[in-house]
Amino acid sequence: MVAGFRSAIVGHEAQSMEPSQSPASASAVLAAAFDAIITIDDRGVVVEWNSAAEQLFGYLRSEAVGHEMATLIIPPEFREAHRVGMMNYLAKGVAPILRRVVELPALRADGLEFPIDLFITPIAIEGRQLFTGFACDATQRKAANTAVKKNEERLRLALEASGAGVWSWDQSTGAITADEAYRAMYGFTLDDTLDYASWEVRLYPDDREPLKRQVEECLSAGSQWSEEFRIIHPQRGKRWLAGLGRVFRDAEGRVSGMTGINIDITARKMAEEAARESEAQAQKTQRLLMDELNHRVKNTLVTVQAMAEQTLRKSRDSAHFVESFRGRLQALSRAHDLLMRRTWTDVDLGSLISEQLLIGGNLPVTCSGPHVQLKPREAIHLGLVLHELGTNARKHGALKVPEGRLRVTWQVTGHHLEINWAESGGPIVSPPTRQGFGTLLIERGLKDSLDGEALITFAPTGLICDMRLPLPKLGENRQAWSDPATH
Amino acid sequence: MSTKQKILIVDDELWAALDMEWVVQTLGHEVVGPVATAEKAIELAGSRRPDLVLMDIRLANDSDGVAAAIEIRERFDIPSLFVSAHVDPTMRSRAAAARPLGFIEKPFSPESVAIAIVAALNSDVS
Repeated sequence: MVAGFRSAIVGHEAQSMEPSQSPASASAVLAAAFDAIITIDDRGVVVEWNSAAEQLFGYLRSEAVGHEMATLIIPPEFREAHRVGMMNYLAKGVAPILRRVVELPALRADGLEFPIDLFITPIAIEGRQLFTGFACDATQRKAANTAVKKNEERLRLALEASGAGVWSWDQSTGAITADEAYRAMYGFTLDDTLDYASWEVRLYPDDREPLKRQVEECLSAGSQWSEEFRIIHPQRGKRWLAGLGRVFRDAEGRVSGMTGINIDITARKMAEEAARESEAQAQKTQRLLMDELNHRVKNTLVTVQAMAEQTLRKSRDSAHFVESFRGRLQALSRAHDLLMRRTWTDVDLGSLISEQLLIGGNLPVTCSGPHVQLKPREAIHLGLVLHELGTNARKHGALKVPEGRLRVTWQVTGHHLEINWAESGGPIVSPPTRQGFGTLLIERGLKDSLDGEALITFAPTGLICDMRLPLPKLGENRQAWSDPATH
Repeated sequence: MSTKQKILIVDDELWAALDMEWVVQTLGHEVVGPVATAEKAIELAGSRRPDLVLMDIRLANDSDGVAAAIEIRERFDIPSLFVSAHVDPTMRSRAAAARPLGFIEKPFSPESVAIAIVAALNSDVS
């Protein structure tokens, strides 16, 4: 650009031009011009310098005329090049920057360097080759240009980052001009000719009419629209786009088309949908859990309340009631504890027996049998039955005396669990004259609650109870466990 | 209604069943059952022909008291009184097909069960 400046100013191949005005009237025009106008001769010496030039460069006409222009307004670092270039140009006659606006650095009288826009035209007057330059301060324009460029760059980056596609629709031709991103978004190739109809075809059927209505309303109102909508991409299927459009007007102010951007928001939409679904799922799970908890609590309350009612009815006195009721309540509570520890899943029969008989101390109890998993419901009912058997053994049977023994064994036959409860070494047993409440609870517990049966034999050596109940078909959960647990 | 009626108790929980049995006996009626599954309830309803069924909604072996009540109503025209820990609109509308004589909400008092039974036996004119 510096070389161009120099070449223009020293331009040798000037067009011949007859002066059309007298020097006086020319001076008046020059003085009134907004642009700085400087004329130099073929040696680079200033021959004309108008008042705008005085303002722009800070030299009076009298200070400029007769001096080499380069020393006045060309920054020192470019002067030598300017002079060399001038001679070069005089020899070779190349003038690449004549008769067009170029931006060049200039120097003011106070030493400030600033950019100017310069237009140079060669003039031949009375056999002399002159050059006239029209100059104006380019500082503001340049700053504005830089700002525009920066904005454009920023916009471009933003569009790239958002994956936005830009489109523009010309109402008179019906054609849509669109960039590569837009075409990729809709599944159009670079060669496809686009118009309103080709866009409309891509829209998801449910969204087509509402969106078209919006666009048409925007056109007639001369406003803008913004919407999230779906399209059918020929290869990628349903996609979510965010679109924005705004009308543009011709010189007369009439709406002549619309321009806008599209952004693919499928990923965001899918994430939102997934979040909504998982939220709904979590709420559903929580609701189910709350319902289940509510159900269990109420059922437990029914049991506890009925236990109290029925125990009270069978109690001799309040002390007897408190003892029996508390025992049953604790048996229920132990079964629940065991289930809670197993997060309400299957419970091991061996553990259930240990818990219910409180085999922790030196009780003479032997348990043996295979590993059997019980469902929560079975565990609770069997737990209560075992509690009744244990209470009876402590109060009347083998566990009442130190020599007494209890052996609990079990086996699985087909889909049935068979448990044998055998007491020995206790007080001599004689069959009761009438059925006690505990015995009723054992028999009914097996029969009514567990769909099984309990056979109680009052053998003289000790009470024997044979229990049999169906097991749910577990199969894989039931592994052999023959190690007898002695407590 | 002073004559002795037969009432089938369907509940998979022993203590609740015992409590209802006591109420039924105290009212001077005969207990049929109790049974813990839908299958046994239908079987016993067919063989013993009770006048009323006290039907728990959630039964053993995941069997469904509503389905059992509907079948008992359709096959033997025996009405049920539902017993449940939660009585919500969904359950009510599902249970409507059994044309039940009422709902007893758990936990119940023996008095509330007694009142529901007396009301049911008096209302059922079929």
